Amino acid sequence: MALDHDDVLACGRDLQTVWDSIGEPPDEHQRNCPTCIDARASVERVQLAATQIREFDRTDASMRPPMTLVESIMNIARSEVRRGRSVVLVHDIAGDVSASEAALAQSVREAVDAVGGVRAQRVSFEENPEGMQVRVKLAMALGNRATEVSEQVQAAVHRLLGRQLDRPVLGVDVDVEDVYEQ
Amino acid sequence: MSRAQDGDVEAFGVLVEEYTPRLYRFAVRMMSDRTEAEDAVQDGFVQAWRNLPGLTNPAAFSSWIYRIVRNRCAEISRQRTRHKVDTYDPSELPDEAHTQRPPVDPADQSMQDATMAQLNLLVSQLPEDLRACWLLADVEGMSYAEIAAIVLTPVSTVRGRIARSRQQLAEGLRAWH
Repeated sequence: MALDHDDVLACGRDLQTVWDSIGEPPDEHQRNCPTCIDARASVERVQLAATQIREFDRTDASMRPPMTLVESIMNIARSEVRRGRSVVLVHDIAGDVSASEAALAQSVREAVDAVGGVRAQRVSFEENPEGMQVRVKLAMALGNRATEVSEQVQAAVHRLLGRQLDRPVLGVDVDVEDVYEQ
Repeated sequence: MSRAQDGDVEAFGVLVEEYTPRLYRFAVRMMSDRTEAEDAVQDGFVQAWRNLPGLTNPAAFSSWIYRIVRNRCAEISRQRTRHKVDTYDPSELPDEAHTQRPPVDPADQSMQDATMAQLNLLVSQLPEDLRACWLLADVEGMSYAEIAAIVLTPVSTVRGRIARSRQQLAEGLRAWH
């Protein structure tokens, strides 16, 4: 398979064109051009090789990752959970009750998921002297109304944090970032 | 994805489950060594977990994780000082790997093993940058644009590398036939 440049055959045809035409009958040029005839045969051999590799990878147990690989990755990830800053839930003279921001965000995500028709994505908190502002980014199932869903999510977050915090939740900003089919 | 970026380790686990099989195959073929491939995939995911919040375009996760693992493969290969001890040459596979295959005629099996060993050798002889592009294109079925995002080169360069890979493989296969 003689190539003048990276992918141009000696006859001037583009090798990619030959590659793309495999599976279709050769055109008139390809039927009569020795370079293209040779190139088609070469490309067919490479394509067959790729097919054999894919089939081997799909069926041979030796190409499956060991069961322990995912487990060891997740063990490391869990040991390095990004906990973020600490959030004081209840101020007390005998000692504040705190939780990591990651743990609080996780409990908010679970409360949002329980609303139904939505999946929580990112959760963030902003403290100010009057209380806490919460922001929830979520995906919503098609067929729901964003305003109704937002009200239900806001209510769920208020219920959850109302039980956990010793100060008011000033607001819950809800951003519908994505939609999905149920 | 957003949840994983937000630190939800279980959401990250979904990504790990989804991507590990294909990244492992890619790494094995890049390195011809299963133990090193495991290391590359594990190191890649740990790096991804640490840097996930900084990924500005969550839709680019696929090319991002492939890029991390491919780079890790290259680093490990550079550090490699020992001989290959765990290639995926089927003749060296442990027996249990063979027992999980569908039953085939022993003569056919022997021919298939020889064919795959030859293909593996040809692919492993490609230069690293050509091998990565060819595997991603013709084995993983990615577009030139997707590959360009992984190897961080222009699409025209990817196209050239794939053409040269196919040419080298074709010459190797011609000599074999």
